[in-house]
Amino acid sequence: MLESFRAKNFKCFEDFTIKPLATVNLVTGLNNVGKTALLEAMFLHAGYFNPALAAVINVFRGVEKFRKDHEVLWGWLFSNHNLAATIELTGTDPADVKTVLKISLCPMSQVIEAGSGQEGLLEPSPGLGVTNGSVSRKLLYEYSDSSGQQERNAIWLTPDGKIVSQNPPTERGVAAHFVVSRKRFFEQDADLLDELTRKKRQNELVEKSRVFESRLNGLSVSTAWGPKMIVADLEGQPELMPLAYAGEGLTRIISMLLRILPAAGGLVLIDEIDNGIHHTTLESVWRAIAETANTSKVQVVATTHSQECIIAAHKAFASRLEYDFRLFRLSRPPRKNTIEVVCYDREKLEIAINAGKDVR
Amino acid sequence: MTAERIQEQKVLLVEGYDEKFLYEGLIDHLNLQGIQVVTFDGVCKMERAIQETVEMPGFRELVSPSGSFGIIRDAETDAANAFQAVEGALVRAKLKPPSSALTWSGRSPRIGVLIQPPCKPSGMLEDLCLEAVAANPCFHCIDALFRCVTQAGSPLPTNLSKAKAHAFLATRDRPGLRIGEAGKKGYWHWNSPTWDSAKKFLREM
Repeated sequence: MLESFRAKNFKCFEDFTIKPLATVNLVTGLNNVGKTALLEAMFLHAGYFNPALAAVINVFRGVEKFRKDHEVLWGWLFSNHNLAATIELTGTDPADVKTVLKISLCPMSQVIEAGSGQEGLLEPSPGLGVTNGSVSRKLLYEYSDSSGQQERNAIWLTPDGKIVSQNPPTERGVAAHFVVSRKRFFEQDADLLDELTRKKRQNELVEKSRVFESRLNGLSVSTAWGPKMIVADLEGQPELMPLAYAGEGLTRIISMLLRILPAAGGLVLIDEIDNGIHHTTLESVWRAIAETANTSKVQVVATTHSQECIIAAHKAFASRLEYDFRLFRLSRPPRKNTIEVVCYDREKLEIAINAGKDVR
Repeated sequence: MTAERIQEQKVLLVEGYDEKFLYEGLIDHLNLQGIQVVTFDGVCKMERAIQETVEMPGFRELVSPSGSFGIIRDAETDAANAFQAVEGALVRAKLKPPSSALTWSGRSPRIGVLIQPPCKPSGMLEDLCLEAVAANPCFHCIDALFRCVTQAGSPLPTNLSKAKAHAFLATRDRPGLRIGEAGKKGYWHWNSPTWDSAKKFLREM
């Protein structure tokens, strides 16, 4: 669980700290103030053992093809596009234990440590050339924590455009999931439901999802429609229905819950949480998230542009025994390249809402 | 109702909706542009409202760089205490308070405070309104009304100024307006010298 998080030299954050984080956190603000970038920074930090995530976050933004050029692929990770800088992502837990991930570009010739290398996730755009200069640097990951643990890894582009990592990533640390606003990952959702079913917890998901679709009798995984996907058993329907064909709201809610339910002790990052969800349902969504996050001990950080979504979250948490929720508003002062944050606790948010003030 | 955010470079914070409507009326009367009047009416105290206004969306973007932030509050029982309370709240909000009421400090943004009624040790909005209409020919009727009520054996209202202000409004062509709404209608005689300090303050914003 993060109590605070600091991002230095990452995207729009020259030096930015967000605190005190609660179990469930909502980040708001105008366009282009770094809401999604903050989630990406937290995602990279949680997945410190897998440098390929630095490329995966581009896919989350819809950029699936890239030129064979480290500057194109990783340049925008660095604030002000300063490739000489070192990105520093620091998480601090409530016991003041710090975990630091440093990301920098270093010459290909720099020796990291022995490793066989592993082919990465992305395919290059065809027909684009690679100059000598463009593959002359690798992305170096250096992780350390207060206990003295240290790790180093690196990824680079091969001349044929493959992403190769020095050491194959082995999953560890906390589970971290990113629910993006633009894409739906049906196969990954199906895998998560498989895993939940294996642990005999699929009924928890069905029960929580029934709040949003009262006809829902069950959820299962099927390949009958081709690719592996989740299918829903809806009362009154003659056949199982692929979830992909259900409404965007239900699909998204199930997608979120699928990630929160099994991520004990982990982190779930949700971009534009209210996307596709009707405003009258928002309070129920927050209740489900509050309950699930609390029982699964999962920290949630989400973003929104919606005042209705914020008010719904406030109401949902205010009706609980413990108000374990915070709102953060990011803003960029005029003519400055810094991002500022205002934290709303329960009292502050209540004042703003009751006085009819915008908090976005 | 649309949630309010800061949309002007000049922000005037007042205590309640009565003050908001009244000063909006005076701003219209003076034909001043670009002043947004904000209130946290009863939701929190003035000192807290200062912090909350500074942290409203749009304040840092519009007001902080080169705008102005004015605060008008009642003297209540002690004008000096009222000013000190505002001064302390401004310091806590990391803003430079002016050295005294009716003066301005700083540049990013400029900060000004007006304690009403000005240059008096105590008082509230209704006292100002009554003072502004004191020369009205029917005003002695209002005094007579309350004398009559006392003589009839009924105790005076605890807030006599407020009672008199509402009694005066009951005599207008559209009775029943709130103090602030009456301000928008111009019932509080904007040409009275009573409003001179407020006019000066608003013009200087």
